[in-house]
Amino acid sequence: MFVTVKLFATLTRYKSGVRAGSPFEVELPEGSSVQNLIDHLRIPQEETHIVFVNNIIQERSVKLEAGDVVGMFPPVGGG
Amino acid sequence: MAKKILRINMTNLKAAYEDVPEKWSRWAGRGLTSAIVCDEVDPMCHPLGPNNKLVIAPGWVTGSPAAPSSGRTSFGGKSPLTGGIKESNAGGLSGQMIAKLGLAAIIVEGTPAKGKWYTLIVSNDGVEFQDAADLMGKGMYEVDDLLWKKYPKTAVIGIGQAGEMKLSNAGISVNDPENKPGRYAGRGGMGAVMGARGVKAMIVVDKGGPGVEIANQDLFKQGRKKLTESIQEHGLTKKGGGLNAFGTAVLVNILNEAGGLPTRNFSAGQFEGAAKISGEAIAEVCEKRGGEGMMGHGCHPGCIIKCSNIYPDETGEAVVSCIEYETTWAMGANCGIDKLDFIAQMTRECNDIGLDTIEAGNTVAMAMEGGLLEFGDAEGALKTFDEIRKGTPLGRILGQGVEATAKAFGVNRVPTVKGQSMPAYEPRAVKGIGVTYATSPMGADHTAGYTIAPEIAGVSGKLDPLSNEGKAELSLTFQAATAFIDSTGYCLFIAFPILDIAKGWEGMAESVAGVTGLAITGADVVPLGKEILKMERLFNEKAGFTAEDDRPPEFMREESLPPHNVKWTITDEQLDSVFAWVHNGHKD
Repeated sequence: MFVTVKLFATLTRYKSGVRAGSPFEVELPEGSSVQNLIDHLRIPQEETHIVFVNNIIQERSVKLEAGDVVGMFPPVGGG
Repeated sequence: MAKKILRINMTNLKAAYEDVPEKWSRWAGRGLTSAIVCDEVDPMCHPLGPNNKLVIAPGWVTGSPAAPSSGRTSFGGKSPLTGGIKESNAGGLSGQMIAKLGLAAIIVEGTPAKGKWYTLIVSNDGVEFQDAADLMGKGMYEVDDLLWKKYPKTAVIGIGQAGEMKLSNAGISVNDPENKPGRYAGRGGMGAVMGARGVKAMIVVDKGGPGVEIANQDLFKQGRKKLTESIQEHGLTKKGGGLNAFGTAVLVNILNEAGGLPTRNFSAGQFEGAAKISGEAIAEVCEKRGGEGMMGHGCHPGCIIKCSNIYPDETGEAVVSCIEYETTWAMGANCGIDKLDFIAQMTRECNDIGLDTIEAGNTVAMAMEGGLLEFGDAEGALKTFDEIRKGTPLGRILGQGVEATAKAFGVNRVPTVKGQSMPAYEPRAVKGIGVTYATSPMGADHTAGYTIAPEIAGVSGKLDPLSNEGKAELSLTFQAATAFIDSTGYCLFIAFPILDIAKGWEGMAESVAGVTGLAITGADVVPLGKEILKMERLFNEKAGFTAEDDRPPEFMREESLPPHNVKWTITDEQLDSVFAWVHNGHKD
């Protein structure tokens, strides 16, 4: 299945040529979780702090479905 | 040497030093400005009238040697925007210099003869009252330049044309280390309060001052070490972390992803141009254009977070410092504008004229909603600032902020609480921050109780932003902790590491105890914060505020916000529970 991924802030370094928020497609086996996607992208565990699936913050154990849009963030804040 | 209060009387142009009375002796920063305002300002007074005062206070640890990121100055008084008590704080050079003069606070009161304006030179020798005729009508860039020619390396506190006109959206500028007017006590119209006292600018010269006394060096050093380590260890505040690398605007994309980035006057929660106005985009511009452009800029000496930036033009020359998250949102997403160069120009206009960027951006969005110009019209938006600078009738309406502009243009989608417009987090999509907006004594203010930390940023746990559950209690805890941090002189951004790393929380309290000699531990933070909030709430009650003033705007209950299609659903009873303790006798 294919999911759409967006990386933000310091995480863009894990996908060459991608800019913050630019969507790209990733192919994963059916039934893959957020954690499987993180592993697939080879992003160190401690660097993905918040993960959105379809605009909702989700745990890493959540199963993905074809067509899901996943946004990943390192620690961010300010205001 | 015990700290003093410096009282400056603008009616007879005299200044006097006073001992700090017992009742104020344990407060600093926001706690002290609010205590003084409660004791000395009639809650029913006109904010621009003879009975209001401008109170300026550095925090407990401000000016002490190498306390990290502790350069805040609090400005207090009765707000012309909200009609209630106001504390607005800023970075820049002023806090440390006032503290090094041995001053707990400066109280500016009285009114000079009609048409007279002054520049006050505050030094270890007292106060010199200089005629400000040469500065009148000038913006803050020129004012800072002119004053540093005579008084180099000093702190310059000043108002632009907006403050001279006593507009409700006038802020107070503090110069940064490059002597630019980028650090603002922006919210609530405190620039108009300074203008009403006939003060165009105040120079603070710390040379020869006694410095800040440390009551217990060992405890101070221990606390400072713990706090510094926690800031340096946390992923958000460490060198090269989110704030340092991308500035506060690193939040644009995550709020957009959460569907909580207010767009086109709070009509949607996502902006299609978000990535173009984000912290990542600002960092790209700085890297590509080079020159004076930079991320990781510090707003005051001794900051170890350095979240500020200097935005360059195409030739690399500095346009403005700094484009904050709130600023790029207010002038950007909320106006449907995705052009950073225009956002930078508008930010510079705000810093020069002396306007709060949040209220100013919201006001432009309101004018767009009202039909003065189209959403997305960046050139038109930039021109509206000329109207304010010149004081045209239109400019004077826009300079009054969102509520006045909404009335002038017949708009009913008005995102304000207590007369102050909302910052860059949509309450319908992030419920806890809506509780803070509704109930804070300051009016709609994100910094007053930043529940975004657990609701969006995953700091101090993770809570569902769309859920109502527990948000009243959450907001109160954050409002109380914030009132304390606003009194320390530390930047509020220390909250991120100290909420996640226990030694940081202890270290903050120990460093305060070490400087002041007060018996304060981490367990005292929330109770002391609640004491401050109670003072502020009681002032507002005497100024005529009731439970009805603790409500979000009507349209948020009526209109669904995309993409989550959610309304405001927290009940009035839940909102009233936040401050029920003020009158029910519980002390905790």
